[in-house]
Amino acid sequence: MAESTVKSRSVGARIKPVEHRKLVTGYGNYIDDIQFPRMAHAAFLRSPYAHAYIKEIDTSKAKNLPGVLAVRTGQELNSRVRPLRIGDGFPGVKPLEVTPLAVDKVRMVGDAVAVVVATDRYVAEDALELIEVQYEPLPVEVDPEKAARGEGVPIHDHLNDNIISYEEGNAGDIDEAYRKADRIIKETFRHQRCTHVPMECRGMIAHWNPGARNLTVWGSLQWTYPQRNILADIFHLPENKVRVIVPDVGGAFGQKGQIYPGDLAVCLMSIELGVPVKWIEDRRENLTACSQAREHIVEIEAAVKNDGTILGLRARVIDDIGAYALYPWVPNSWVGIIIAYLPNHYKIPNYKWEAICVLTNKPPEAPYRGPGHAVGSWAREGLIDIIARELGLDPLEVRLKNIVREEDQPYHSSNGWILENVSSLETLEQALQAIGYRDFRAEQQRARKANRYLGIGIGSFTNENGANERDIPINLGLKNAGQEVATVRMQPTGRVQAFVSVAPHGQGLETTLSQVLADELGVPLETVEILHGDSDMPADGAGTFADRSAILGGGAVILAGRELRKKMLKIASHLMEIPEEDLEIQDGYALSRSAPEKRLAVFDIAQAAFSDPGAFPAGLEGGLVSTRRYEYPTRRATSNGAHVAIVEVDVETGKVDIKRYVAVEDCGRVINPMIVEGQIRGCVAQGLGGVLLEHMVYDQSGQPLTATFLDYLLPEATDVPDIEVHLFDNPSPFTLGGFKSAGEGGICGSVAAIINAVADALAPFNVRINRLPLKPDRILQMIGKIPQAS
Amino acid sequence: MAERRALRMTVNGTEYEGLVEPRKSLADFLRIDLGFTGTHLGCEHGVCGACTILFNGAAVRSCLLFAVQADGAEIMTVEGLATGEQLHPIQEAFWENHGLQCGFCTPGFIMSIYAFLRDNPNPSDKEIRVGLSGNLCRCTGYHDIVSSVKAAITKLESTGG
Repeated sequence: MAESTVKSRSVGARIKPVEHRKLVTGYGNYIDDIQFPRMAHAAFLRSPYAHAYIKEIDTSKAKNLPGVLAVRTGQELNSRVRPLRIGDGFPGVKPLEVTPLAVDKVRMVGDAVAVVVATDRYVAEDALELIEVQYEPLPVEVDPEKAARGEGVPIHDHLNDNIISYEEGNAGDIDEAYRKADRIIKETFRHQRCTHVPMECRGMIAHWNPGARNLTVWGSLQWTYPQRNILADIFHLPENKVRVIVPDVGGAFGQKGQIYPGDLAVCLMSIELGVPVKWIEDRRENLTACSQAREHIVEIEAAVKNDGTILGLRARVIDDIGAYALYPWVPNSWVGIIIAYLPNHYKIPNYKWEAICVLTNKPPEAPYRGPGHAVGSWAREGLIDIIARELGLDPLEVRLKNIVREEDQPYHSSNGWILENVSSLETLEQALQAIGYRDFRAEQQRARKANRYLGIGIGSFTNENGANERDIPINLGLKNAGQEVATVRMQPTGRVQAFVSVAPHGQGLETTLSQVLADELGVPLETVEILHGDSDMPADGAGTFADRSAILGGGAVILAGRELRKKMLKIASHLMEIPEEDLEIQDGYALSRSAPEKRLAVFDIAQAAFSDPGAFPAGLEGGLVSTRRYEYPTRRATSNGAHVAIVEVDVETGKVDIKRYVAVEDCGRVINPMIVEGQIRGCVAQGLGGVLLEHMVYDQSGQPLTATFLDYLLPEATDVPDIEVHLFDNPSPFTLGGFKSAGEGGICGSVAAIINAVADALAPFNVRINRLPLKPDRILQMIGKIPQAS
Repeated sequence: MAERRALRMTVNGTEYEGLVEPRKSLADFLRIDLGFTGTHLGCEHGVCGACTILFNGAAVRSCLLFAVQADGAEIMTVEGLATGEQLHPIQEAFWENHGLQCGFCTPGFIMSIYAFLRDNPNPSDKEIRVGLSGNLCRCTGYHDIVSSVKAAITKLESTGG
């Protein structure tokens, strides 16, 4: 573990989260809770067509409605700001331009064609109904595989087809692997389109102050500084004239960390009107016009020996990114993660791949908790189970044959990762033991004799974290993705405030970073407060996504805390007349190591720091404040784990019942087990949702058929089993504090474990699972009880 | 714009008067006109349960009611649960058991559970799951919410609830 002399007092403890009190009492402050005098309300008119030319828009009736302040179309609004240029200069990518409102053409149902601003949201929506738009419908493209063949009508007129990016690569010698193989085993895994569904939809308030000439934006966001930087750039304002404030955020899961075109329209309307303009997304907009994810297709082949050794992989991955990409991401930001997750933590030296991103007339892709992890883990772990079944081996045997073990590390994977400090085998063994894997087979046989179909499935994974410009393609505007900044200051009374640039929205970072900082400073936990969510705060980093906040936010508060502690020790040494080397700070007191009865309260140190400079050692500046930046270590902290599920499938009704579920995860040094376990369980539920329930369905004309919660099914309390979580203690040697990550592994583990368990249960029917979700009708189709859907 | 109607209701023990358009939802009236922003809107079509309040004692979805329907009613929102500084046992249980992450769905859960445990003070594990199934949470996977309900039951028993 990284050098540290502090004693762990708070880190590792189940501290109840400090942020919860206001939330359980109803005194949280979410974006729609904020009201201002003269605040106006925006609403968008959205296209009912998936692909059409806009021939004419008549807004005259809407403009005349009492209470309406302004109605603007793309023709009127877009020229006030330069378009967002997405993907320029990225190898293999064709650039796109995105404007605040659609102009000339709509490319998905839900594209915004006009914005209304009124004194009240009800009136704004009344006005939408008075806008008349004439569309000329165009052929609609919804099939990513067709797009990947270069067929179909181009969705963007400057392109010849709907292939927006193409990359290929290889490691080792795939031809040699094929020559040496006994068998080539292949499958195509098609993951359905899902969406993030934070319980709070998106929302924002833009306020252009015409006197001060500055723009303040309150937003339900998972970052602060990138939003400020990008808005300043787009609106040609100095950064200090744009302020972004992020209040409490009701979940995000990746959906609140990019610039949506409509956000720019809301800002432009406040600039035009000089009043605060609020826009709150409603659920229908959230489901149909925001962002979606996971529509990924993996065609994969493995070259294997009869003993289960995997010699090589060949993969072709198609990522349906929808009609646009969302700045600052680029079209191929996520497909590379799928490519990396196919070999993942198995010793597969020969690997050849193609990655194709395609456009369709559907909403744009945004990273959804573990982008690419779902299909990547499913295709990898699902293929291993298929290999096992084809070769007559147990799925565990094939894993044990190929998994990267301790003695292999550091292991240079064919996906480009260096695996070290990874406990894949150990976590797998712990999970199997906890669930009783070896005993299960006998139980399964007994059950089958009674016509009950039980199955067990394994999802083993390693999880890279921290999407940053070194790892994935990102546009300018997020060039600070690989770092976080913290400013720690001690007040004259010894109370500590830390300003951080990570942007928690349910992760409990106010609590966990307090724990880290309290230990680093040697002060009681309750004297430490974490502040975030205002770009005018002295911090600067990318925010909270991609499993990066404990590592980077934790690292930044450690560095700043450590610097502050050194200064506190200098002052204490001067006041106590004890050499610094003999002093430490613990529980709010500086004390002598050799004579612990000599102690001085942190309160007195802080008082001295803020009062008479004469009380100071010569040359030391007054005050107690430190700002430090922590950058991603060059060697990554890779979390890993194994999930195992036991399911029973009712072959009469097609219902899947998860009987037991065990998750073992190596998240490095655990700051707060209660919070980490909560992250893992919540993540499993989102994986489960994608496997069993969730599907954003589009028909051939690009119409969304799942536009309400009655059709887009989220897991309810009765759908999620008890999830047994074990944390495998294995601090990272590469990160300050030894932290890894905990927020996304559950996707990898759960998707693979549940699907493999269902396939195992249905092994007597000789089915392969290659489409999701596994709703009852799909199960009955797979086992031949009802006809296949046309 | 339709003519506004006068109404009067008791919210968390205090009487309020209002003048609203008949089409204004009860949730919007509580949130915007009265400032009880603890009641959240997660879907506005009656599925997610985030806007659950007590309406004359019954747990209802305030997004599916018009404010004018609540004329004369007794309403309780999440802000009405604590007694001064003292949190309600269900609130305490949620805090101590990490029964929330982002907290957006939490007021709706707490109000649903308040009515559920009042009507069924000793539910089985299965009844708890079913009792929670009218509220959606995207963060927790429900495990810690179930634990919170169990802890709340113990707390309510010991306080005579």
